[in-house]
Amino acid sequence: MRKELGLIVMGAVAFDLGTVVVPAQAADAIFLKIDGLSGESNYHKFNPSDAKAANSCVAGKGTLVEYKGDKYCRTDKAGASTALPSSAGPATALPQTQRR
Amino acid sequence: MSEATLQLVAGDPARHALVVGRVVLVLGGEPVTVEMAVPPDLVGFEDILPILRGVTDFVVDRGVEEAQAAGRTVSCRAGCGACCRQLVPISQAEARALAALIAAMPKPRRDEIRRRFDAALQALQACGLTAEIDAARQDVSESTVDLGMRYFRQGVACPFLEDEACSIHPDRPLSCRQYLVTSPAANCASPTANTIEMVALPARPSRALLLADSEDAGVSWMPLVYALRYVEQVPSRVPARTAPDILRDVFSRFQSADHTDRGRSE
Repeated sequence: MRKELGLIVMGAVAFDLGTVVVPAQAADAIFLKIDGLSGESNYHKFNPSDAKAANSCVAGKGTLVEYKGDKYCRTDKAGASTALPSSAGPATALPQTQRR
Repeated sequence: MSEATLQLVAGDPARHALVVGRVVLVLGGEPVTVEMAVPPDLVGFEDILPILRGVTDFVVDRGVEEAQAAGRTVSCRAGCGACCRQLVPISQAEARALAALIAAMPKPRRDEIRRRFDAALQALQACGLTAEIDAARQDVSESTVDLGMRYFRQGVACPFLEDEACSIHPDRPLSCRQYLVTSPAANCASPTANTIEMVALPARPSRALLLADSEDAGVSWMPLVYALRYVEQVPSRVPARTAPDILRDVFSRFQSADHTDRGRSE
């Protein structure tokens, strides 16, 4: 697939930024902070540094939640889908590491 | 499927010779070559927005394709503007771009849009949300989900919303471009975490821009309705970086798997 915008004829490449590999879901691992663990759901604690686990949770329609600093994947007991925790809208796209 | 190539231009080729470059983004394991033409001078982040808009649209297309492959259908349509009452975080560069867009409008329309910005700010001040927003901008460690929901409940429409459609669609912020849902449109009238299903994207260009731009400018994110007020307060910034340097900075944020990012709910 080549998306031709027809804007200019590209000349010689003057700068090459190389290859940027975007980790699957790594930038999207968004945790919903909750005040308590509901008895109606199953919570599986996992290491938040494990992007694969976060990815699997979201892909399985689980919800990433944070409770008292620990990270969990929440699925309901019936295994039915739960929405992604990032569903509150554009506001959920706020940056998280502005304090540098 | 052959490797995708995206050609994007920022700047006016008729005004000056553009510098061309490329980056290969690997999204979901699949590479896309982005060929870019950018101004040769020192620029601001706002000057490279056309590149980031193009990349964002491509990323969103990928997300939509994956959603459709999974049997889901995007329910967002022109005429459905429920999400246009949400808190839309933008960077200072996007604020400048919007201010420039408004400044270039014919006077009657320009005045009307400015009036809407003023009304939106007044509505937020009247309900006390500006203080909360300002606090959230200073302390990004706190959750913004509740703030976002309170903002939404105020029903403050985006100043660019007309007939429930975006009147600046080609120039809309990256956050807006990224927001698509597959849940029933009716659910967007009262969104909750359990009733809205968003299109998952293989990258978040808006977040990369917000992080890079805020660090460079020392200005935190801001709600879209703050844009004109911000630009009035800080009319200009002296460009200090080249476009390739800025682009390298932004694209590097695509890679972010910084786990400190995840310790806070969004």
